[in-house]
Amino acid sequence: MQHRCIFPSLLSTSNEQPCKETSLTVEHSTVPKLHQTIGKKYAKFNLDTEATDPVPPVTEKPYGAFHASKFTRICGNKRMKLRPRKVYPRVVTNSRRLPMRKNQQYEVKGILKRRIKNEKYEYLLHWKGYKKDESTWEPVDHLSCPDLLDDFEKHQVLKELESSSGCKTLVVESCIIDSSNICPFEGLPVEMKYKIFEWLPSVEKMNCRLVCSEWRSILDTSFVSFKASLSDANVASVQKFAGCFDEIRVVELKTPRIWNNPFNHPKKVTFNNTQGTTSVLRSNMIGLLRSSAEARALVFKKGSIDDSCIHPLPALRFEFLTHLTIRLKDNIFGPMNIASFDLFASFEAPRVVTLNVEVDENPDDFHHLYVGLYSLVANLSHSLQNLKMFFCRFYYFQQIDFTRNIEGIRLKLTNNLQLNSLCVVLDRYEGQHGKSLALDLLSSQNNLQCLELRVNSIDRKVEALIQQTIANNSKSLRKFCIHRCICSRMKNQILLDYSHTLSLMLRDVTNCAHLETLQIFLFSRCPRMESLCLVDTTEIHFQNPWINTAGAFTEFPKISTRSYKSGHSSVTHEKYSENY
Amino acid sequence: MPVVRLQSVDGEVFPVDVEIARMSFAIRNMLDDLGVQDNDAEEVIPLPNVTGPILRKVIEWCTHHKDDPPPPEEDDTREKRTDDIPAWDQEFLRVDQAVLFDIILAANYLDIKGLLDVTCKTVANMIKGKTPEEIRKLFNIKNDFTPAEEEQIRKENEWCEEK
Repeated sequence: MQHRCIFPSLLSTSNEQPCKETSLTVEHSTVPKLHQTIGKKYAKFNLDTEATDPVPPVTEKPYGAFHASKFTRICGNKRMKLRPRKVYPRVVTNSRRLPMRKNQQYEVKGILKRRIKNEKYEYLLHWKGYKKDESTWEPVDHLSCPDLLDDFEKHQVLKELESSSGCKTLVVESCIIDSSNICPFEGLPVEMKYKIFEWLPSVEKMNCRLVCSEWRSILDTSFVSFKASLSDANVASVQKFAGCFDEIRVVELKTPRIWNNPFNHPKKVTFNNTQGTTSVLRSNMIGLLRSSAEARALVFKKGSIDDSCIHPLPALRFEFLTHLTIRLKDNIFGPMNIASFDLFASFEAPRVVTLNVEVDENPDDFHHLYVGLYSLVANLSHSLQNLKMFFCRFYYFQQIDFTRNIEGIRLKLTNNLQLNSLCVVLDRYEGQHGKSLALDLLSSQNNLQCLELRVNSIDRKVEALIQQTIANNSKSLRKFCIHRCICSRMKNQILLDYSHTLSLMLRDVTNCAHLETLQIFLFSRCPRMESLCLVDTTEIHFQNPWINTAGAFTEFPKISTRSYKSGHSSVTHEKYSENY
Repeated sequence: MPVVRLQSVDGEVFPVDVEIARMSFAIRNMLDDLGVQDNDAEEVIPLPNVTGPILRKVIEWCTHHKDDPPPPEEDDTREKRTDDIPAWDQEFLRVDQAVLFDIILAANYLDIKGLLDVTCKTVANMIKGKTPEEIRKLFNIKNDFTPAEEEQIRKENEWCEEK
């Protein structure tokens, strides 16, 4: 990067004056501020009286040209007009003495000092190709090296701040600013650098390791982590890699590997639909699980558990595991594959708080799906004493006969007193038997704090299910949500947010006839109910049945209405009060 | 609207709405700890790590974002995205590197998560898609690796081909 500047102060040397004593002032303040025009690094000093001399063409666009006669030179108290013809200083460069040429541009190597002269800043400039003691003071108007100037000013301000005396010392000790040393990034504290690197994808982080040794050492600490997709091609180098991993995704491992080196504390290990011969798959999976014993999350994606895994894993203990997700393929539940869940028989993960089981294809044999689920929960149960969240996702429920195995599920989940959050997604849920699964899952809890149901439709029987669930958990339940429901006659969703403030929110209720029973139940179960909020509700009838069952209320709840849509809400809480 | 007065290190005082100032958790804690009353207009909060021009920028950002919803909870599983910087912020952060890094430092000191995230993302975007040499040029960093070391790192990096 080159910075050039005109060299007018050499004027002074022709007058046998020490250059420090010289200053130039501009009489008219119309000189544009050169440093504001980034990108134009060149200025031209035009000595008007010599205009008849042949002037070598200047390739750069002249900028900021001003007339030499505008300058006055100040020597003591005496002002004298500058004589442009005297501007021929001799400067040593490359052991040759060259006269200064008009229209010549000189390159600035650095700014050394700043001072104030005649209420203007002047800078001591170190010229490229010249010695430091040949530096000259130049007024700010002559400088056309905005980058250097900015850097210098910034540094100057910092210096002044560091002295923190608050004094306005503007001539500071020599602080040589060489533009090649300015690196604002270096000035950031290291934790800020972590924060920046965090936003980069792994490939970019790897790239950054090549920038310099400081960057590499930052990126190889445990504060920065990488994601790796394991395949046969790269597994060896991943194992040797110095950095830390937050996620390892197994993509394709077809050849058996020796897993001697533990990974650097991967936080999450994901097994994809791994392909390979069964024994290879199994040995690789076990090896990988062993070498990532500090994982926080394990994800077994569809197909990652296969026929090959029918034998239990060797006793593996995941001390820090909190999230376990198992996505099951339909055929995993085939009669032969129920034993697949033995995979988890000796799987120890005492801190698991979230267990997420998803079955999102259409199982051929629903009976085996259920048995498989039971088996899974049974096998895991000894390590799930801390379980807080159990998320089940099922599609196509209508054909399952759950009645035979209800006991199993109930047994396992009732034993778990830590479970306080349960989410059941029953997409495409129809028919009677599916309900009994849900009923059992839900009603068996006795300290449930959060219950979330996503179902397409709720009829009378499901209403009963919900009531029973609330009854069983009424002491602990803080949050209760039903999404996308209540009955087919309602177009929109209803959300019941049964929070610890004991408020109930009903959203988008267009016809509440089928909802009354539920409401009555809710209200009678929570005598401390303080508020009821109705959002976008157009028609709702709370009248007699509600009142009749409200005997338990010590104080009547406040009812507020809000409408985000049309604004016409016909709920009349006055009517309530009257009746009450 | 009650106002607090923030004083930068160079002595400049900025009157700022309390609600905007409280976007900074550092100031929020300070106000809470001091028990500063709403109408205590004489109270000046000194910010010894922030210069006037930078503080002006920070206040400008906070004023523009005062009605934003609170940032979502930290979630490790969330994919880190840097392509979601709002246009206003992009324009706002089109400044010198030095200023940008000063804003990062100020956002960190004042504990304004939204501003810290968006500035860090901006720097990350500057790095993205560049070769190591281009990054060195961008930040004026000297390459202190020997060719042998560089080759070694390239080898270490091999596993991360593409994603």
